[in-house]
Amino acid sequence: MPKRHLVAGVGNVLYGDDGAGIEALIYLKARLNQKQFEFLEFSTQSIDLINYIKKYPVNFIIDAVDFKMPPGFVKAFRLKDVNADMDSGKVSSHGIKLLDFLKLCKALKIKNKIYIIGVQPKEISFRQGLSKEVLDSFPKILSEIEKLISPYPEN
Amino acid sequence: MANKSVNIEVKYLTRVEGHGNIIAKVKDGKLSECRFEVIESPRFFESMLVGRSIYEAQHLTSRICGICACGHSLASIKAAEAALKITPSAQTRLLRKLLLYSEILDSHVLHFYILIAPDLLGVDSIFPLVKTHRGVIEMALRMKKMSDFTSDVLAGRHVHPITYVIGGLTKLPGEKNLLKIKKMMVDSRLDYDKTVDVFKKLKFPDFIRPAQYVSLVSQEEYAFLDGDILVNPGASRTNDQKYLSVLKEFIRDYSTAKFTSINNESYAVGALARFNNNYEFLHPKAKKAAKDLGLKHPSYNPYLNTVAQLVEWVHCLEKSIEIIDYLLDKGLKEKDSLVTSWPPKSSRPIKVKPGRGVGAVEVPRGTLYHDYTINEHAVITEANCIIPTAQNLFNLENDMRKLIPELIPKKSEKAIQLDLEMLARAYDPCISCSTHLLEVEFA
Repeated sequence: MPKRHLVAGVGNVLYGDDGAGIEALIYLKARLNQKQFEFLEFSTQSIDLINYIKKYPVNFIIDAVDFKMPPGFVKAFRLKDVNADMDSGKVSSHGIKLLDFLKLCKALKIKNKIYIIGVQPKEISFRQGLSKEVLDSFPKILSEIEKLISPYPEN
Repeated sequence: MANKSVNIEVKYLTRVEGHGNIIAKVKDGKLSECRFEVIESPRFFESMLVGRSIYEAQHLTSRICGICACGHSLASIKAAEAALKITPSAQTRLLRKLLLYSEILDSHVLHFYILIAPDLLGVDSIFPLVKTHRGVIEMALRMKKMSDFTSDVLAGRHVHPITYVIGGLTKLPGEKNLLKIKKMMVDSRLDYDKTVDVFKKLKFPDFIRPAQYVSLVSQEEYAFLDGDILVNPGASRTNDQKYLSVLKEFIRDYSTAKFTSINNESYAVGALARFNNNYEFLHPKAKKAAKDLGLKHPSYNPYLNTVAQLVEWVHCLEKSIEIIDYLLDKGLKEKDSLVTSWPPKSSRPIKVKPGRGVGAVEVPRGTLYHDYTINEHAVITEANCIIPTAQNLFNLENDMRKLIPELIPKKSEKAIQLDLEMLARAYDPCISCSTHLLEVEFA
């Protein structure tokens, strides 16, 4: 049976908390139903998501997001929740911005649900490993996904 | 016109990866400043490699770039094998070529459709094109889907390969998946025919500046994975292990990326350089595409690097189909490529002969070098990585220095700025793939 939901991690694990989305995949994989969820790493290439999200009715993209909030803050949102005029015209396929990717999905009239689960990073610099605050945020990421997935039946 | 003054400051050039500025100043008709500034912070990947086992280097270095991850991984593996004196099997080399081709296919289609097409159609991004050329954009994404799937199957995932290791692969692609890849590739032939039709109607800026063109070359094929370094004109060939005898790195105070030179001059790497140096080995269908697109050999117009990428797209697709046919016909042999533990258990604790090795491969933007020195425990003690974009920076600036005086009598400041931006984008610069922090404002 095809899996119904995608959990995608975006980021660079060699850049401190920028790798939050990738590292969170390991935590989530151990706790979410693997028959229902597909877990995929997308590195810094958000554009690569375009051909994958169409396969899943509900998609969760985990990424480091600058909310201007304390480190480890977690928030789920969709494109309609944010100022879509940001970065207009600055689309770049290499390291395409996640926001531009969402706008591209909208322009292409892709109907599959896409939620960004953002984590406020503490430090983005050249190093391996996450800050304690971001590591401690993983249970909140899990609970956001469980909350958002609850309206959808398992089959 | 002789007294014309121009002041161009493009901060954060768009539709390129990373952060770069174009600065050009003309006073009283004379060019006084001209530079391409790389303002990204340095990432020190080389220092991260020091102290790590050479057996994990390809996994670390594949993280240098999200689009050239396979190329970095393969350059790393080749450098490690050169240092360890390991020769891969012919089957492994074919599987590596197949992976490299899939990355070229992926990167090139994104560049010519998503980054370059907006310039040629007079819009500022891909978004207006979704409305006006929806079928074409959907075709581009379909072409990408094919290369994503190929990488998924071969490398274990579509980005940051995990199956390709020193000596071979940890898992071989099954026959069923190879057949599926082949079907998608054969179907993609229709897409490249349509793509050639689309691009032959588009007009690229007319600008000529012959440069030194540098790429790998081989006696038997259009070189991507293996070959000597060829510098043209001059036709001097150098073994890739001796790359430092050819190219020199130097620093400019306004750039965080090192520049490089050959013969104390700038040089170009990438699709146009490969096309100029390897033309005779292009697949016949790629030669036909070049002819249909009006790309003559040799070409000295850097804007046509994009057209050369399209020609290479055709070449890589056809060569991939040939490789898959060959592998299916001969049957994949586990003994030739399968690596189940590496280093082998019999050789632990690790004791090797200290040495040094260089891995050079052609990635979408040009020749990539990885250079490692290891100690008797196979731990890296020195590392050097030279990426194509750094090699092109000097040449891009020299192009700008020739182009600006040619444009001053003919174009407005705004039009000159656009031509300079298009020139920089034609090189497909990949300044950094290291960070992508999303900033949002809530409505």
